[in-house]
Amino acid sequence: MVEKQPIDILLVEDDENDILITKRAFTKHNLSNHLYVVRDGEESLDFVYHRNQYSDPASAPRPGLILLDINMPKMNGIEVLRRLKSDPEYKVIPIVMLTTSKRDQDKIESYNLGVNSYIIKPVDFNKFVDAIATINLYWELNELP
Amino acid sequence: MSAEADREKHASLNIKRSNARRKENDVGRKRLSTGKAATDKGKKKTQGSTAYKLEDLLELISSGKDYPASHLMELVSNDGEIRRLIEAFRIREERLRSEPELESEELYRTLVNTAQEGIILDDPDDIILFTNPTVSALLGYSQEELVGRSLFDFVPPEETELLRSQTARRMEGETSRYELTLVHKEGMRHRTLVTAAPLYDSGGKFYASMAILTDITELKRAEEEIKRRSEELGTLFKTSTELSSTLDEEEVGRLISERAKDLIPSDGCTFYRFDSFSEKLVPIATTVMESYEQRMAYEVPLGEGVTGRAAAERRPIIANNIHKDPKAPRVPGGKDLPTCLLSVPLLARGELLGAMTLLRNSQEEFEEHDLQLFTHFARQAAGAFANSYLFRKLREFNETLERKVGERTAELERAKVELEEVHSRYKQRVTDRLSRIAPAMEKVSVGDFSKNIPLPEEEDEFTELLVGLNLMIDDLRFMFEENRRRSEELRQLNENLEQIVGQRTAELKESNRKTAAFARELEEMIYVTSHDLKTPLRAISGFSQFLYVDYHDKLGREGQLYLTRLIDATKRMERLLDDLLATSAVSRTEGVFERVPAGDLIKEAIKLVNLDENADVVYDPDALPLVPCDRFKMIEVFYNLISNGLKFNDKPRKQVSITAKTSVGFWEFMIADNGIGIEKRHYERIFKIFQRLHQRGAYEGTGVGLSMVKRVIEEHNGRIWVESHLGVGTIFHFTLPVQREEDDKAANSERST
Repeated sequence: MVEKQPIDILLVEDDENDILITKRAFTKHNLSNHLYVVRDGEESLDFVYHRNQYSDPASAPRPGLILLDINMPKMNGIEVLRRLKSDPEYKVIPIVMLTTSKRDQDKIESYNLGVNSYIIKPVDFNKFVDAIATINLYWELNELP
Repeated sequence: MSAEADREKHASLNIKRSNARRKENDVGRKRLSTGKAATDKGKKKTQGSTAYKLEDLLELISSGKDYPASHLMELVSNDGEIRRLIEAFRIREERLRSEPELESEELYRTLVNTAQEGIILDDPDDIILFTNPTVSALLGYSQEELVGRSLFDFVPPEETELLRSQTARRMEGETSRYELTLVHKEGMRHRTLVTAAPLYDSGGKFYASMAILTDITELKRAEEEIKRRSEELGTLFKTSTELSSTLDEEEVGRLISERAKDLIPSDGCTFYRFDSFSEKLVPIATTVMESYEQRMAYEVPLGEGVTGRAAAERRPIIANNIHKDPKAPRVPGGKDLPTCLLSVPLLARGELLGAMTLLRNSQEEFEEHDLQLFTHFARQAAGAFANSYLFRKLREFNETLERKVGERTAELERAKVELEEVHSRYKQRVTDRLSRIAPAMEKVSVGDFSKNIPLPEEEDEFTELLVGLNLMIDDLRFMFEENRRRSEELRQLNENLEQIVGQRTAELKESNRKTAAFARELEEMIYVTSHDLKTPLRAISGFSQFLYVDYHDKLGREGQLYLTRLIDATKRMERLLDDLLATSAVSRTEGVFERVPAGDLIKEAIKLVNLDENADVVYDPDALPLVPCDRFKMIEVFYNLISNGLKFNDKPRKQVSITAKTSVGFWEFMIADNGIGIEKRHYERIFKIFQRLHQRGAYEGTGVGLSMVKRVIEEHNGRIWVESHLGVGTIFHFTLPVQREEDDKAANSERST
């Protein structure tokens, strides 16, 4: 029996503070997954499709889970979601949206596009940690072969 | 039997009778003596000492009569006398023993004398032999006066034959019963019922009739009265039958008069009809043949004469022997016979119909009985006469009507002929005049007032009309011109006004658009700003917490306190931004209206509320309606109202229940909680933005929720209000139209196409 390898996670987030908070949330929860971070929508697609700076496949492994912020410059999260969910090869990758408000209108649209889950980015850090933990639990139970 | 022998017998009877009378007297005295012995004795002693001798005494004793016993011893003084006395007693005894028939005759006599019936004995020649006191009373003569007189003296001449035949029957030995009239000394007549039988002497020879009489005068009178009454009734009945068979007034009058005469013995009856117009009684019929013409011609004024008075006073009047009264009126031309009158009014339903007068040309007076009978008859007659009166009125009315119809028909016929003449005369002229008017009017009808009607050379009744029409055409011409001028002015004014209104409307639209756009921009800005503000806020909050977790040892107590305050402030700010986001989100989106089950909306709303184990939301999805709404916004409404109910709630078991009912055209929802309640003075304030009723910290919340709810409900054309009891709970009511306005419009347009 081979020891289970934690999957790689791609965080798509433009706000440095949020990146820092997310990273800390992973650390606080003792998650050993490798967290790759890209700063906008276009970059996230480069990462997935090994384009431009990520042309070397080693620099950008296929993520097991994508945490996708909605409000970003250049290409927003909704657009990224649409692209990936319409690609037969990548649409199986679970995508979790990161939203600012639980009443965000974009939430509905992302559901229509086939998002797997979403996390409201709370101001209270502890709640955010709990949300990440929930995602982790979900991921572990649904590990892809 | 010879007259001689009869007289003898008669005489012997007389003796017998006088003996009997004496004996009767003696018996009476004997009876007295037993009752008043002492007094009698005293009296007789004085009498006896002078009056009685022994011989007398002995005769009294031997004859069986009373004798004065007290004198007995005084008168007897020797044996011889005693022997005679004894002999006398022996004879007395014998006699008394042999005379019982004498005693019975005595009894018989008593009966005869005291009987109520009269008893008469008369011989074959009707000479009275004997009568009792009743007969004396009947005839007014004493017994002594009667005996020896002929019975015929007391019988009225018309019954002599009857008596004779009855006596003959007696001789034949017959007993019979018959009625006989006897005349009193004073002339009064007594009707008697006689039972008569023949009497025979010891030799079997008829010597007398014995008659027993019963006075039946009263009985007879009563019988006759009954008979008379029955005849009256018969007449009345007959009259009513006859009267009911005719309606002719004169015939009725004649019948009534005749029957009245039959009913009450008189010399005639006159029947009058009352003429209310002339106030006179008009004779209709009379049975008085005496001065018939005058009687029928004389109309009696009301109140005059016996008839006039009876009618005027409406009561029956008897006037007996009127010619004794010099003031008594008489029929003009009538003869002055002794006259008795009885007059009655004829009344029906209180109305005077006429009168009837009975007349007797003798001194035989009308009596009360006649008056009553006549009154009764008059009542009946009045009924019959009323019918004939009505019939006459009807007939008269009919005749009048027929005549009037005839007259009117003739009148109309005449009028029609005249009218036809006039009509044809005028027709020509009217045609001519109309032909003048027509061309002008045709022009007028199309709005051309230039032509007037040409007037005819000679004036007639149309001239005025034509002149009037011409004036009218002139007026119309003027008014038409004036109107055209005015409407032109008005049109110009209108054009200007329309221009101004259009301009203003455009301005207003633009202003509205700008305002709306500005409001939208503002909402957008609020949304974006509050959204964007969250990112740095998250950083501030996150790093504050990191600082606290990683470095709180180094911060010291005061540093830790500041940091805790900082973290709290960020949390509150997040809530504020969340609410702001929510309201702006609601207003900036143009949602889609769809029909959603209210139960689904509530289910979604509850998902947004963090329900703990101490809170319940009660609702029955099946009892809630389907509402046309913006789903997203309506979820926000329910979310806010539910979370309010749970948030402002101090009960250990918090509950919110949601129900709905229909009112006209609307659904009314009720969201009831068992929370702290709201004071009445705050009912309006709670719906204003950023209004909080409580100190920050007591209850969470930003004061945005209810203002948003109100806005959404009003957007949906609904209404929201609150009722509450402090400490008990609050009920929020809101209404939603059953149909959306747009739906209605769509439905209407569909219907109209």
